[in-house]
Amino acid sequence: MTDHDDIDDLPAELVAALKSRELPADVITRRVDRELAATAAEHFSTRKPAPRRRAWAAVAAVAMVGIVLSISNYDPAPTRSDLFTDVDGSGQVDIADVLALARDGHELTQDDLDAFAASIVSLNGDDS
Amino acid sequence: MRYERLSDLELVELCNTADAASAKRAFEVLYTRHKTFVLRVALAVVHDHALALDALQETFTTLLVQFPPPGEGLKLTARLTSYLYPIARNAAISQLRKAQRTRPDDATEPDELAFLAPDSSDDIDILITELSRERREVITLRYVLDLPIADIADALDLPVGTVKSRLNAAVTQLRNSPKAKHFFEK
Repeated sequence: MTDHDDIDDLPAELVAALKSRELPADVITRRVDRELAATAAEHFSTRKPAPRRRAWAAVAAVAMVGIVLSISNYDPAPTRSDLFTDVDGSGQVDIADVLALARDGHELTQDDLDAFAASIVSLNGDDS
Repeated sequence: MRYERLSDLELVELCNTADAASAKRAFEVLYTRHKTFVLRVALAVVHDHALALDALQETFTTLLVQFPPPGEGLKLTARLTSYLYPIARNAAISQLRKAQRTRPDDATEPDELAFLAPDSSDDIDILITELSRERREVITLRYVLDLPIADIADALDLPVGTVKSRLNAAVTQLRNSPKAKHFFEK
């Protein structure tokens, strides 16, 4: 006992006797575990996932790619609106496709990247 | 993220603000971490495992609805156990009342009043029954549930000085009781 020096402690044997009156708490709680998990899932289900964070992370990543490309010695190339397709076959057009294009030596301009970033934000309409 | 490594405060913050999946996971960790404490409090009041389980469920449901939506969010200013204690205690008393309503022959008002005072002829039970409810409660919180004084004060919404004075009075009463004399003489 350290937090109340001005209080006399009970003898250890009396404390042990008091504790021995306690019913064991090794109760099987599976029913309550299950029901509370379901209640919690329902309670929190109305919260939206965090698309804003994901979209802005993608935008930030695109910006990073832009910076890297702009300081490289790429020759500017004409913008092609159909450039951003499902290059990696993941089923969606995302930052991974941009990286795949860059890796394959495609020449991406800042305008291309800006257009891609804008398209991500507009696809996640609630992010603006 | 390893939720089990987060503090109660961090988990509560996730429950308040995180997305659905993270909030649910954080709540589950809080539940796993504190369910035994809540069960012990409930068992101390109801002395019945089924009723204690119902009190456990009621306690954590009460905690859950603090989180948005529609709750305003929980601002934890003390340890979570201090926050959970009065909820668990009241939930247990409520379960006890419900149980007694279904048993009209035994319709006396439950002794929230007999907190930790089971029917028994054991010396130690008689000894505890001699204490007032307030004294019994602080003795239980301090020596059975091992809560620090500050947490007891938070849990009972009392000043620390009042908790200390109740504990002192309870210890003195036990020391002066003939039934407890042998404990103090050793």
